Amino acid sequence: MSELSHCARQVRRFDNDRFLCTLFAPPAEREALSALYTFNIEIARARELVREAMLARMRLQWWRDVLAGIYAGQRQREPVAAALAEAVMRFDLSRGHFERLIDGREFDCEDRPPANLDDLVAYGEATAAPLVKLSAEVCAAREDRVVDAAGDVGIAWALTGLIRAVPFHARAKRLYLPAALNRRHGLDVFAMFERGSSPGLSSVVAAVSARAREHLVRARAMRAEVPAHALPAFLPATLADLYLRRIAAADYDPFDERVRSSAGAGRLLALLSARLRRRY
Amino acid sequence: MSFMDRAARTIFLSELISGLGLTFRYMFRPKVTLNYPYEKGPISPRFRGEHALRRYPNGEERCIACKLCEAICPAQAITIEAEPRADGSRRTTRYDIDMVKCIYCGYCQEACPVDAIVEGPNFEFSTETREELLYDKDRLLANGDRWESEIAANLAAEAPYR
Repeated sequence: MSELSHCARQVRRFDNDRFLCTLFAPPAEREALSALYTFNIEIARARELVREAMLARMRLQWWRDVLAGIYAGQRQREPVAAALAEAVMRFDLSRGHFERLIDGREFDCEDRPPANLDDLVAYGEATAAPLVKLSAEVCAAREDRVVDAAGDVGIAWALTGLIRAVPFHARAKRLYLPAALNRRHGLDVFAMFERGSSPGLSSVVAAVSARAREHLVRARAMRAEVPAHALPAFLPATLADLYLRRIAAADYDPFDERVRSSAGAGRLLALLSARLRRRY
Repeated sequence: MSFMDRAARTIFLSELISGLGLTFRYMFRPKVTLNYPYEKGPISPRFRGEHALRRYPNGEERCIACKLCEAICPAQAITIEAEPRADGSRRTTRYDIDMVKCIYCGYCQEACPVDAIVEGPNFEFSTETREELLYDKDRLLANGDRWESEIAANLAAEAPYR
């Protein structure tokens, strides 16, 4: 058994859910998926690591320049960029998806919650859907219907993740729950930052997770179109389903311990059964 | 009556004894002081101490000489010179930090796109002369090697959504 590559180690540490999904791919594709997910980690962390939004924008711009270099065929030295370049060359990945990922992260730098649920979905569509589409490309699935399904998986995963991240973001006084919903359900945002669970929070979270569920159902309706070898790209849907059920079981309170803990063995069982049944 | 009360307290030294009792009680409580050079107080994972240049696990230095830290530094404490190496990669030939100028704002580590320059957890780097506080690249890389495990642990703030 060989050692994990730098990218795989990063993904295992910072994006464990997706790391488990990559394990179901053949070795060559696994490396490419790890490179993609490490790239995603790097741009997702940009806002978390800095105090000034401008510095996060600088980091995003740096990754834009790296992408331009990769597509211009320059040799990359930085390990993540080198792995990414190899994945791009080998699997002929579309540049547009990368650009959308980075542009989507610009929203992180604005430090304001999305105005309404549609804005939140648009954020999810920009920050997660292209990543699932790219992983589908790595797994050699490029048909239009498959790309649509990938988009829905991405949105479902993003919304689920954002609900689970509410306590993490609250610590930094950031909020990704739609402002319109917060107003309608009388959620006092500042009280939530200070004290955690607040009245109204569960109604907002229930609305967001219902939307995630919608996209999940739509993605699963197209299950017949997705070839079996593309399954690793679509496995986040299985995990999104698992997490959505946990959120519902915790009465839509993201501060509940059942939501905050990563699902442990349940996660592995869900992925294994998805793999055995060959359906996400 | 109050006169009697006060007189009794004076005669039996009750205040003195209760005061001594308080002192004596603290002998059996856990100490709040630290035996400093041997014991240290906890510091935040975000503590901004002495700088270090990190390496990748394969031993290659992370810094790619993009000069963003030099540009962002409000105290202009960082000086970088760079040129392409024999294998074509761009590396710094000189990376100096004037630790006397540095205000420990942490912008350099926030600006670094590859997490090469970091402010580590070390706060004990006093010197006898000013010249020793002008750090060069070797010193910074040595710091990185020395503190890598702590630095890597401190960098890991994990969000459930990426």
